[in-house]
Amino acid sequence: MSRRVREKYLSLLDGSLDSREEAVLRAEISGKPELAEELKDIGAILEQCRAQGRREFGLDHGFANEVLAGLQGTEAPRRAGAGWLPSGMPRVAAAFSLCVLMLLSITLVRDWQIASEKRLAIGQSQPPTGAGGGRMIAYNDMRVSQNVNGALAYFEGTAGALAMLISGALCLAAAGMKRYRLALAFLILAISIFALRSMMGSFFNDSKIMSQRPLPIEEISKRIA
Amino acid sequence: MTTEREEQLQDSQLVRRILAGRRDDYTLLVRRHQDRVYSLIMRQIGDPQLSRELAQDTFVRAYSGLRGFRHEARFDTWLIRIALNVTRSYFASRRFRERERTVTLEPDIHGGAVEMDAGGEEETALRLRRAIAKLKPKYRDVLVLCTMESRTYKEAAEILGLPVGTVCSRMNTALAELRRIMQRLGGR
Repeated sequence: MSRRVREKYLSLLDGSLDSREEAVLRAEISGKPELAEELKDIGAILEQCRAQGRREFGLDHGFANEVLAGLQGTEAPRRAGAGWLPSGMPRVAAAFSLCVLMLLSITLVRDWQIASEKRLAIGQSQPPTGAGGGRMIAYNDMRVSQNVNGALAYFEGTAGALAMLISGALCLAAAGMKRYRLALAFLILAISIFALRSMMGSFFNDSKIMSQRPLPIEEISKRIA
Repeated sequence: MTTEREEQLQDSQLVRRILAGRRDDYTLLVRRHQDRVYSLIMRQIGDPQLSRELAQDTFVRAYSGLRGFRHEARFDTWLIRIALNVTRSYFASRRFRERERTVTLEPDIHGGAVEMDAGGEEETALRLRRAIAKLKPKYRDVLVLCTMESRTYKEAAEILGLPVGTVCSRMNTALAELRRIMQRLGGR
């Protein structure tokens, strides 16, 4: 009650209360001497504070030089990126991250090439399962499941791990350069990739996919017949 | 010496120049804002020497943290926030508590040559300052900004990084608290 009235009273003192509201407030106060006393005190305090605020104080011109003299021992402020690491360290960290990135990329591409060559070899060596002499792919084709499985394994395995590593390295580099928001973003990305990989591993893992092997062609023909 | 062109540079331009290594340009910024910062502190502390010291501390802190200054905010807003923090630290310090123990309602007890036209007025000001010093920092900051600094609730909210509604509510509480403290101190 008192709080609400106080707020209204402050508005009245600021002159932001219209005449109707003012009349309501005055009517409310008139019946309560204690409240009226409190508001009167508050008005007086407010006026004292404002009177203090009207007093102006100034400093001489020598003050700026004093401040500058006081800064002699203080380290000069620097732009973002030149933080707590010794100068040149962010560059070293970035170069290191880049090297790791390149090495991982090379390994990944090589693995991927080997894997795709193997798959291709398997695809060519396997007898066609669908109509059209091997050029058409039928439902439940072995090669489809193998490729889907390969892609999932790829995301769950090396590609996901690489993305995680890159995000982690970039997170460290960003933190080293005092770009904490960017570092946080990379951290979230790394954690998200980890979560995604875990989910893929749990719900779409190789063994589950591979267990759904396609039926032999004889069985399919028999069923159709 | 500063040229007229340098005097006309905006705060943010000066900050960029200082960050680029021109330390001397900081004197321009200090000269531009020293009275505002000093007044803010002086109105709360009342001791010229101590206020000068705290103003200096404010500018040293501002210099050290200049890299953290975001150019979308106004420099003086940012500086006022630092000055409030410096004052806050002072009120929380042992130095203030020891000073409080020795203080009486004598206007020039700390050697502060505060020119006042009437002794009664200074006594009132001193009592008010003592009461404000006893307020919780969050209420004190709002009270100082909205009354002594004549800032609007919106401006105070911007300086303190609070919603306007919170500032209104704190202002309300601050006044009620201040009344209680002043009654306890004996007089208003």
